[in-house]
Amino acid sequence: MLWIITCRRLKRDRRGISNIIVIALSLVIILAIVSNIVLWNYEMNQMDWEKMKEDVSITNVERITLSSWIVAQSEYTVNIGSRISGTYTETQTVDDQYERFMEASTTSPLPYNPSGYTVGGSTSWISGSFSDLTSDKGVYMFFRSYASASAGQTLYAHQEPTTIGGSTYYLLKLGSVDAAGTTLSADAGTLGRKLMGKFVYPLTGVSSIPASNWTIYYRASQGHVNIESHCDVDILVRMSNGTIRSTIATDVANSGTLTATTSWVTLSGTYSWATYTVVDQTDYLEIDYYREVTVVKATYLVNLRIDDNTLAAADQTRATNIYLPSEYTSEVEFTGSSNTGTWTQLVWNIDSAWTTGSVAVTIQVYNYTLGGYPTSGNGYDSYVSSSTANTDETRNQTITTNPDHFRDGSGNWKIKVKGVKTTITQFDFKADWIEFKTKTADYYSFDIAGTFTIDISTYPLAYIQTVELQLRYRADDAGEKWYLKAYNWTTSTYSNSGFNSTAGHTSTTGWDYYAVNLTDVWQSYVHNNGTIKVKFVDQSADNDQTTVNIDFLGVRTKLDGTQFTFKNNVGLTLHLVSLWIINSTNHQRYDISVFVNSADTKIYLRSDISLPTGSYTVKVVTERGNTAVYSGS
Amino acid sequence: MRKLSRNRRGINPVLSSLLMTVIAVAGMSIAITATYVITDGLHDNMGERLIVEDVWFTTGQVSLYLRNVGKISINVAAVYVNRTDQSFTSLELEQNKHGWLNVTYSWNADSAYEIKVVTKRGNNVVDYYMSPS
Repeated sequence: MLWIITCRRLKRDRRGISNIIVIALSLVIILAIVSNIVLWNYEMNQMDWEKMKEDVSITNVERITLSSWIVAQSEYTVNIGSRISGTYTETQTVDDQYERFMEASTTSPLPYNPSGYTVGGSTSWISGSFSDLTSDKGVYMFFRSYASASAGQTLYAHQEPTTIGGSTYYLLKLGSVDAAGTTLSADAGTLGRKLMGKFVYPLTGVSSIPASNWTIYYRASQGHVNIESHCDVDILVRMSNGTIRSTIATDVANSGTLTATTSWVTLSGTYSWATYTVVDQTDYLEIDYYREVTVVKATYLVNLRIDDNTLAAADQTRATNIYLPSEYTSEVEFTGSSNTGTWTQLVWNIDSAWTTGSVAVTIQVYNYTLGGYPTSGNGYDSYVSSSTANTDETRNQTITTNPDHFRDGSGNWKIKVKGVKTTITQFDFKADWIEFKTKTADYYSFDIAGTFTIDISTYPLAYIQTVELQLRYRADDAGEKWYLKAYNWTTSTYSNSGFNSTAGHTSTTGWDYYAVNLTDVWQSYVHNNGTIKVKFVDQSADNDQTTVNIDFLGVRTKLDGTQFTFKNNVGLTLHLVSLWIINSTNHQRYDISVFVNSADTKIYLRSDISLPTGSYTVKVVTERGNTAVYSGS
Repeated sequence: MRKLSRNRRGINPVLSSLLMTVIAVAGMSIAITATYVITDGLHDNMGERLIVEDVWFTTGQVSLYLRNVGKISINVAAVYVNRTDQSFTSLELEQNKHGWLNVTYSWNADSAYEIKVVTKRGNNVVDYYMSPS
């Protein structure tokens, strides 16, 4: 009833409805304005309130040179051996808890590489080390051959020049002439010996020049029939710096007199050469050709023709029957150690190359029962190397009959590699890989590997100076040597190459610490993601089945960083966004993003921040805009 | 149509109602726009927050490292050192951004300076800073 009355009144009074609508809309607008402002104000006030409530402090700042120990986070991989008790977690701290392993019989071939060498004859070592022989990787030990036989040979006077000690000489070569020829001339208008040219032959690879009767031939002419002259030589040895080491002979090998002709003729003279032992193989044999004028004719010349390939060999200017090397030999005996177990098989591998082609090569493994090198059968191999110089060739042999005849009572072995070639050119032997691999019955070895991960967000690789490995272990075999190795991500092998110590550690049967430093080669052993794989192995298999207890195995990095300790003194979580290191000369800012829980303390490490010397201020800024300051020096 | 053409009093109420509706909608639009304009400036003004992380006195220059910790971008309009307007490199900081504000000023060693940074919306940050000795 009331509703009907109200409706009727409203229908009669339309102005009342309009007023209500206007008022309602106005209220909505005002409410929108007020709520927007009030809510926003509330939000900003809350932000300010939170900022006011924040209380952060820096309680400590200190220089850090070593990271904390990084330990295994998963079980070790036992490659050779067995786990007796314990788990990897017991190798994470130095305490009385340890993981126990035992060596296992290995049926895998045990590889050994040379650790020494003896050269045969006058073979000489040139370059390389034993580490180059551990795998077929194209990195070589070089040995230079020596002259093992000589024969009378001819040195032809060539026109090609060479420079010794700043002076120019012509070359003497074993090969025949190869040019259009040159005429060397001198004035025939005065008496005396006229130097026509100085010719040298390098004594590389020549240890001595045996005695022989030389015949020296001269292709000579003169400008006038009235001139009388003959040819002769001086012979000497010149050092590589140009000074004379030894004058052998002067004015020798005199030819017959040339007279009454202006035609080219071939003259000769002889010289009895005494044995000469080469002092230094960088020296040169020098023959100086002269014309001695005995009857003069002014304005005319005397001539010597050299290197003319239009002439017969018999008419060339040359020196014959000079005993020079005709055969070179390289002979190297490699020695190594192995084990004294019961061998069931021996496999030797040699990968090598020669700097010349077609070398007759003999490989022999020393037979200790025979007391010498075999000349056939087991322990003997011969072949002719590739006709292409510097070609790597792998030779191997598997010995299953009495393989232990090829080692002595201490496990030592010897392999001899000999290469011979009839040649006038010295060559080198390039040893790439030499391996002596044995299979052994009832022989025990140990090999475990673990993976460690450096937190590169805390310790960026760019700021790591080196990496250290530390082991605390106890092995019950006092004579056995143990090694820590790491996986080299470049060569894809476990190695300790470049470590500060590669000698390993000999157990005392008590608890021993064994630590190594990866020096400046650590980057080869740490993957870009911070992973480092560490292997703990024995030196070689032996008769004793050793028990190995590992109490601790860890990795740590060496760096020059800074450790900050932040304390949150209130109930709000802090977000630290800026870090400042300030001294009198520099204000250095670092972006950080560190959350510190309420009433918590956070240790924050930065490997890339080095504290300045002298007084400094450390400042940290929160995301809400508060600042904490620490002063140090 | 004939009835409508004869009864003109029936069309007037319809037209007047339509006209009133248009006027009402237009009025509301103006009111809402005015509301937005009025509150937006206030809103931005209230949302500005700026802190000075660091002050570095270098030769002929005072550098302030500013961080925008508010809810709106900030544009530095003026810098006063000891209540005197100074020239500076322009700086605009989006929310949560930070950067150096370089003020050209020849300062004296071991002296206190009142440095005020004023934003375009009129907010300011002011504090005293000691120059190094």
